[in-house]
Amino acid sequence: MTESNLVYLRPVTDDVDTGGFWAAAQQRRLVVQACTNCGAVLHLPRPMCRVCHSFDLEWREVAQHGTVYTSTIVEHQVHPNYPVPYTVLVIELDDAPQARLIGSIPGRMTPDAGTPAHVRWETMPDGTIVPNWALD
Amino acid sequence: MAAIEDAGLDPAEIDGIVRCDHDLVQHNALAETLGVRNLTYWGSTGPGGVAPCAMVGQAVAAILSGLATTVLVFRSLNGRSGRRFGLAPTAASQPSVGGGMTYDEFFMPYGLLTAGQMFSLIAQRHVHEYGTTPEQFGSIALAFREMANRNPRAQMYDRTLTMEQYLESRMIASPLRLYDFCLETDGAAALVVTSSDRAKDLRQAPVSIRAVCQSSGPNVQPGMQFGVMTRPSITHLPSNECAEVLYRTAGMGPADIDVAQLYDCFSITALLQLEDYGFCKPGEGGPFAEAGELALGGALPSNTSGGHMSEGYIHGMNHVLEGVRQIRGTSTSQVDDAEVSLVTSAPPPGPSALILTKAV
Repeated sequence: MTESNLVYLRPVTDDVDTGGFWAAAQQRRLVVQACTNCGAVLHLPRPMCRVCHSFDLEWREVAQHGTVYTSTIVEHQVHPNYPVPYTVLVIELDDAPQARLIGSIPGRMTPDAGTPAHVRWETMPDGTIVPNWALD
Repeated sequence: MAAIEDAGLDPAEIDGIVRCDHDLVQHNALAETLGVRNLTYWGSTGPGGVAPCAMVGQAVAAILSGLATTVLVFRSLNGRSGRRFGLAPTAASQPSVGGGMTYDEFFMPYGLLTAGQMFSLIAQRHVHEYGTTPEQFGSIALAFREMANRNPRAQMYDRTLTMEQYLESRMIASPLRLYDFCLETDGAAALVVTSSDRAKDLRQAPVSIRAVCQSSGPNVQPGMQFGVMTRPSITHLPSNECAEVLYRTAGMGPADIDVAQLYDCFSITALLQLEDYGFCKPGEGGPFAEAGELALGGALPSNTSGGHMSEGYIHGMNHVLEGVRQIRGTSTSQVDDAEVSLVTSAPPPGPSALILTKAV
């Protein structure tokens, strides 16, 4: 698999709700928000648990492995810095299937649902580290 | 103005306006231009394509509560010459993405940039789960195109479409092709909502709003659209819950619907609603469409003006107007003796829908 960067648009990394995810990513750790009271995984992250309404939330480290939930091959280019073709993946995390993360790989692939995948860390020109995904 | 004139009203009599949150036109600008004497209710809802039926619902609520008597509901956009929804933000205009409860930081850096790509992910999941075929998606595009070929006001009025052309058309984001996508349109659509009593005295035979509702469903995700990717299922959307509330309110079921205008930003969107609104079982939307059930004479003649895919993209408001035409008996693809007309607005993140009937 190529090591070239696919991520061009820089994610906001200091948002009050989602900043913890990106702070961990800078240390190449993959985390999801979870409730320390009832244990629910909360993705997308938010200030209060949607199950038990506790404000006691944490960033829980999870394995950098998952499986493909769905995908699409983008053939029609809509952004100058996202050259086609590329394949967008939706990944279900092995440790937290309730959380789905997005990844992209160059070229055309239509992986079966359930195909294993792993995190591929990308470092952007300004040093921001972003978790992307690759098929195993 | 055409809607107000059609109703036989003086624009000064409009005392309520409902707009879509994406509309560039504000209520006060429109009220002033129309010469409204005194606007006593204005509201807006969305996001975007979710709005049209819900906007009618706001008008109904305003009238029933006494906040207004005569409410103009409108959507206007320059979808081609103005902001084009299919384009992504470029770095110059937006150096970083996300934050502020948009949650775009989890999606857009990876090249998931447009609604079309998101619905393609939904379509591919439908293929994974149910084996939906290209011909089945194509049969939806063809059905709506045939309707447009009878509608002189449709953008695709004079352009026919064959299955061969569909299958040979370029892929935009697999499995969706060019003809699975809606059009880009500059246009506007409007309707006037008032009480049944008042409507009796106006120019047109009134069309009754039998039921109108919105539904978020459980676990609605934040963000404008991409949060849908984290729902428990992306092939069954809150249109499930919307259908339940709608049918209960109307005292009707799917078998009572004579004609439908299904929100069709993409073919997959219409397909999912065939299942969610109960016209076929989960997973059977593809075979239902392939069997010709969406055509005139089929089980559910749908998008009889051509819909977003072949008439034009007025963000779902053209669907409401066509739903009214079917009850009036003035559609260019008129369903014989249509008495119950379903209109739906965009499924994610929380749809709206309404049922129209002949006034009693």
